Amino acid sequence: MRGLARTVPGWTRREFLVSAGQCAACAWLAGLAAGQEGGEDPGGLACNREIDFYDRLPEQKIQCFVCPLHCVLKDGETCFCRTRTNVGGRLLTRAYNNPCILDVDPIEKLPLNHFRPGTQTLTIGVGGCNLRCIYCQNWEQSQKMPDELKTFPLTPAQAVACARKKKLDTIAFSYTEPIAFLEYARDVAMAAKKARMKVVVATAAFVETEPLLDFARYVDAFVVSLKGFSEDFYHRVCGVKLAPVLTAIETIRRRTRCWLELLNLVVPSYNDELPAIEEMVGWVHKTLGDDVPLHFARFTPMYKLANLPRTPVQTLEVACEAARQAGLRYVYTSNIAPHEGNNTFCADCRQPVIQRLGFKVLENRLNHGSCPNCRRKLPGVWG
Amino acid sequence: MYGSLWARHRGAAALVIIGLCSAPFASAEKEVLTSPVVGTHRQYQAEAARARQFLAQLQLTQNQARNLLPILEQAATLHIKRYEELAALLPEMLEAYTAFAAEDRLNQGFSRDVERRTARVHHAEISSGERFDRELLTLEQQALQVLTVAQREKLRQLEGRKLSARVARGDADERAAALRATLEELQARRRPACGKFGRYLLRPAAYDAVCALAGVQPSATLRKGVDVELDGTAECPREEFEKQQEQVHNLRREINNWNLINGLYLTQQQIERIVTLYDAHVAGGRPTVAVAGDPSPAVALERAVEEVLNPGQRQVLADYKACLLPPRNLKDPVRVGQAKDNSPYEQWLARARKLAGPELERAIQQLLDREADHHGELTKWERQERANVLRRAARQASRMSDAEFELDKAQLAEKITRPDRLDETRKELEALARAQGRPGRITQFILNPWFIAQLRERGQQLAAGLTPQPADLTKGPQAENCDRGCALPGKATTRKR
Repeated sequence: MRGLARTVPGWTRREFLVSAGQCAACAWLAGLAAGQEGGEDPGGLACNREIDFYDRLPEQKIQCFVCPLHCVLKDGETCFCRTRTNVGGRLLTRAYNNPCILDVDPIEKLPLNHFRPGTQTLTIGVGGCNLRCIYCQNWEQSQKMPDELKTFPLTPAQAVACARKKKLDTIAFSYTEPIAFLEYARDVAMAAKKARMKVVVATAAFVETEPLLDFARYVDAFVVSLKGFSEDFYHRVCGVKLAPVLTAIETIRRRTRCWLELLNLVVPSYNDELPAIEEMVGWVHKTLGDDVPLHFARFTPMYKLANLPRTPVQTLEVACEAARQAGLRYVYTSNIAPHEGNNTFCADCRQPVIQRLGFKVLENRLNHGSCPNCRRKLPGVWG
Repeated sequence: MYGSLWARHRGAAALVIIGLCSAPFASAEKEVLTSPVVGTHRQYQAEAARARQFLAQLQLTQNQARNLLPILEQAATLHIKRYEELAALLPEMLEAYTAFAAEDRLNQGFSRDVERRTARVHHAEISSGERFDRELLTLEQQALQVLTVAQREKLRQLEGRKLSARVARGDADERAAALRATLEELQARRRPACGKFGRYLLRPAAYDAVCALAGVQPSATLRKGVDVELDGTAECPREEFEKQQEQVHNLRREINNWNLINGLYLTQQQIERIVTLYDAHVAGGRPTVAVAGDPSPAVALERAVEEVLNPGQRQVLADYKACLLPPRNLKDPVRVGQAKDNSPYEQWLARARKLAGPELERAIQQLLDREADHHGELTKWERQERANVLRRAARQASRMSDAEFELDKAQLAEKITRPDRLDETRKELEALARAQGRPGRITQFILNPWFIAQLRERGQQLAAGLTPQPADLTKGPQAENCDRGCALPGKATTRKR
């Protein structure tokens, strides 16, 4: 100690000890403040960020308003999404700075086919989900609390730094449901926007309008998974309701400037009937217009629906044809490659303008977003 | 029974050794000339003739032949064991492959049970073959000890003759010949197998010739070896065995074809065009395979079919390897929004970054052994080099934070992945063939009557269409929901880092 005090020029031992004491006091106070901010749940886990959309109820109860489930929680209880916990009358998230997946993906994997094709994203996933889809392909992450998974600390600033290090200018939230880690996703998106990066989100859009609009301020593109088109399907297969999802999709389209694409996973015998598909594509065309790209994805046996076969390719082709008949101009097939449905065709001259093999862009003939053949401008974000 | 069988086989063998040492079996010559010669027997005779010729080329002495006899006894035991193993496996293979082909035909994935059963019998068959090759190779090495230095030199010349003959024949330029040699060497490294000595002299067809040269009667084991080779066993006669083998062979071909057809996702129009092109070509009496001297008709057909495929399909075909179980990129391609599975090298790095000292060294050696099983053995120097690469990568990974590792693991894994030289060489050879205007993969995989027949069937399936049957949503699994409240109790869990 004495030696150290001597090494700092112009300091006496007294000054050094006083400074050291002050530092220690600061550190203690900071720790105390952090403890109050973060809180601890009954399991002794750190919940380190307060939620913005909730109401306090009597007897330390809380009602969450992030998603339409409006979970009412007693002290110590956690929302249906497995990420938000009532800690002593405050709603805190377990998901903040706590991702379990960090990867570099082609943007086509979201899937986004009209948003900067051929680029890559830094994709972040956090445990938890407010849906209970019985065919979830990432159920090992989505159906667990973040604390039950192997995670790593990653602050919003670090996420942006990671993207920079990898020379990426897009951050994506995918794999699990971003609505379950909305607070973290929003802060990362905010940091990304400050760093002039793009933000894209793959979601089931089971979310309340206010949090959605708040989040959308920092988002450039959404891919919404519209899982089916009946309340019965949503209730029995996903555990939630369809109506709020349709409202959220409409909100994105009408009240934000975000690019929107839709994804429909066609599950054999569950949602592959032509009348239901026709009803869905009719709604898309009428409500969202003919320029919203729609992806029909092939189902692979998974989770609780491991007994089903894969979706026949023909079923997807029939669905695509129904969508085109309804007036949609950009219809794709996903999870089968190589397939004509992977490519982007000009809506006028029907020439392929982007050739893909799955998520890989083999050839992009677009000229500043226009068809090189007939010069028609294709909707999307191409730059 | 053995007596009568042996009398017949001895006759067949006698034909083999005429000229080499005619005296001991002179009386049997008449028998073989009058006995019916069919499939297996004809092949047996050809093998016996090759063995006789080989013995003459090596100029083996009587003493050397006698020294070979104990090794031949072991080889005979091995051949019998291999036959019995295969005979037991064939019915299982037939059953599993038939179910697999039926599911493959529908292109809706495989049920777990069928896929597992197929993988199991396929693996059992491969393991049995590898074990047989390995043990026969050991016997060959023992057998080579009886040769003189001059005979070994002669053997080396005989082994190298294939390549030099190819170069002399001028069927390819030097580069192609060198690539083929590399390919053969790599294949031999991956699955070491006998050379000519083992192939010609350790087979049952050679036993009579060697015995005759040694001047002794074949032992009971050798006789049994020949019996099994020609007539099979009581449990599985040769005729039945070969019938099953042929069925398995046909099923394999059918499955390979379905795998490719399923992976290409050809449209009905594409199928019709390919079939029409093929039919017109065949109707014109033109060959679909390359004919020496004039490969142009086959190449023209190949180019026409290539035009029908889109760039993605061409890419799939370029990467395709004939397979029983479809490769992962065809069977289970990465899906939209799917979290990636860690590759084996990523998994290894995730484990190795937490190890140090002897534990890390053990992990490195284990990985090298696994690689050797898959890609073939490395030389001592190559193995050391590779261990250094792995050690450096593990240390690099251990210096990273968890988040950095998550982000960089794929890149790091790619860096340490052992290159598949066999595949690279094969592709180089194909590119060379293409540059020389010779038929390539389309001819190899698509333009054959079996593939086209299955393509027609797929076309019919597509034309027939299908009507999905709605599921009763009240039955089957149901999603958990909030009907009885959403709140989840606070859980005491262990944080995993």
